[in-house]
Amino acid sequence: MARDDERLHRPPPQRPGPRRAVIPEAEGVNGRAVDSGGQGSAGDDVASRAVNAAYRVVEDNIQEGRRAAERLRGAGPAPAEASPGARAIAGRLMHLTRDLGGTWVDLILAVLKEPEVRAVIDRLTLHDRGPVASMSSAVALAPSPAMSVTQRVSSRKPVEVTLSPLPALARSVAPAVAGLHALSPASPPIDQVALTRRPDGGLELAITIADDQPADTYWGALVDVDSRQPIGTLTVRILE
Amino acid sequence: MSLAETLATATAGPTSSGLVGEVLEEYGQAARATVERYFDADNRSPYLHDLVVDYPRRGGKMMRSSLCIAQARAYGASLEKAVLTAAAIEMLHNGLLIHDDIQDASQERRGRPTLHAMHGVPLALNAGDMLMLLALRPLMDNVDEVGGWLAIEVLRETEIMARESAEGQALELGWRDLNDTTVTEADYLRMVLKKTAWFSTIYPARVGALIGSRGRVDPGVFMHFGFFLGAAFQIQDDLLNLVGDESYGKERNGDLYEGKRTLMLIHARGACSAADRAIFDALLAAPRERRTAEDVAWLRAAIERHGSIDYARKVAEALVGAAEFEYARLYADLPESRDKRFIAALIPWVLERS
Repeated sequence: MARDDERLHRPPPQRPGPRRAVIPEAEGVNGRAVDSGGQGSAGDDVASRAVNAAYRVVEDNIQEGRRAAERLRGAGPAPAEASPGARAIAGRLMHLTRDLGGTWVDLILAVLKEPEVRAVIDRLTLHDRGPVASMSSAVALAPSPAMSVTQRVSSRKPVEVTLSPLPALARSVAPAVAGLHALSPASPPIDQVALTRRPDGGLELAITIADDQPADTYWGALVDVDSRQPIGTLTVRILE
Repeated sequence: MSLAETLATATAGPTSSGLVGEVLEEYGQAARATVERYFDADNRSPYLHDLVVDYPRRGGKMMRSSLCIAQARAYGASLEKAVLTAAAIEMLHNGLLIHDDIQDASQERRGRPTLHAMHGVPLALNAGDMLMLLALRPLMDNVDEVGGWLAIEVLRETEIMARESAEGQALELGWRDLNDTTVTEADYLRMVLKKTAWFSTIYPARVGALIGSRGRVDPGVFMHFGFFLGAAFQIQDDLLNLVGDESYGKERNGDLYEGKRTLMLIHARGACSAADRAIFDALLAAPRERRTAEDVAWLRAAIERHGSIDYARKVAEALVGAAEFEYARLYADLPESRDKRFIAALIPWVLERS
């Protein structure tokens, strides 16, 4: 039987307690900090350990942010990963779409600001406006002296609806809304929209916004169904 | 010009403060003028208006707003596109300062008595609320300046920043109020990331790049750079509280009076003998009003005895180095510009300021 002093003993631990500092330089010997000021290589060690600790802290925060974003957006399981090439193309496409949309809006705004254009719009809109009934808080624009537009908007979210000035439409013209799309691919089009003739010859615009329709700005063209010619635009802005 | 040359040019000479001072002055002035537009001169609400305009008119470095504008310009936007966001940043900053001063029971801000010291806590609190809510106006006006989509993205960034900052502030206050002596240096860095870096550097860099690139740049890439820069900034701020001159604008050793868990304090406590540590903890446990000048002098002596000031300086310098490394990675492909040089020069500047 081996005597106690013949046994191999584990050396006494270097530290009596748990290591808590991510910058271990601060712990020094026995878990206590040492003075590292002005000691050449010790200073370099402080630097590398500090930076290492800082990288870990920021990586943790990024992960935490991702988890929070997933939680807050109520995201389901992550979609299947696209290849990097496809992702890059999709990204460029998204930016291109967004830029084109932005340019289009800028162009329209610029045109609308032209004095001649404004004068025409004012002339059209300052004439007798027909009665406008609306269930939404937004204001509708009566497009021409001969017409009125009634809006019926059903939505739980606040919505702004804007119709561009329309030319005077003959009774035979059958107007319709050709799609109501947002620029963001994450926002599906609004499909419950209809523009119909009222018995008195005016127009009735009926829009139903689904509860889960994302807040966004949706644009659509108004067309004459028979001639297939555009006659105006409809903008629906859903607010949070 | 290569990136190394950019860094060398930006940081050449005895200090980097020439270019930094110049740009801070120029962009700071633009942000300040925009903030003033939102202070309704005709609506001088009693007990409110004068308090709301007080801190913003005391000056300040304007680092956050200038970083936002410089980022936007470096990525290709004009100053006008970013100045509303920069103004919102300044309003939020000043509102948060009012609340910070109340929470820390601070006596001085920018060389003058704090707002609550002059007007009492309830009115100061109300003015801080007003400033932060007022910041929503330029952020909403962004719709006309940068478009609806980008304006919403900036608002989203603001919401993330607000959450992170509140979490960081809660950590610092909780540690102090509950006298948590188990706080480690890693805990400190986590708190600084949330409390300081998110608002001071990460958020301005993210929103500036979003505006400048019209949403093409992923704001997430600025996390490391922003954190290293912001953490170095905060450690230097804590150092200045101990060793700063009269121009510092806050009371000397104020952090020790407040029992704030700074890197120096955590380092010194860790270096103490068991007996000294017991004294350390007892002093920190006392509420601020019962902490005497002698108590603070004892804490200060312990910090100096254990080389904690030099230690914190080394950590801050290391973080500056890390920020320069991240800068080189992030900005390599951007065309040369004064704004790019300014951002590079800002990195060593955070340690040079007094």
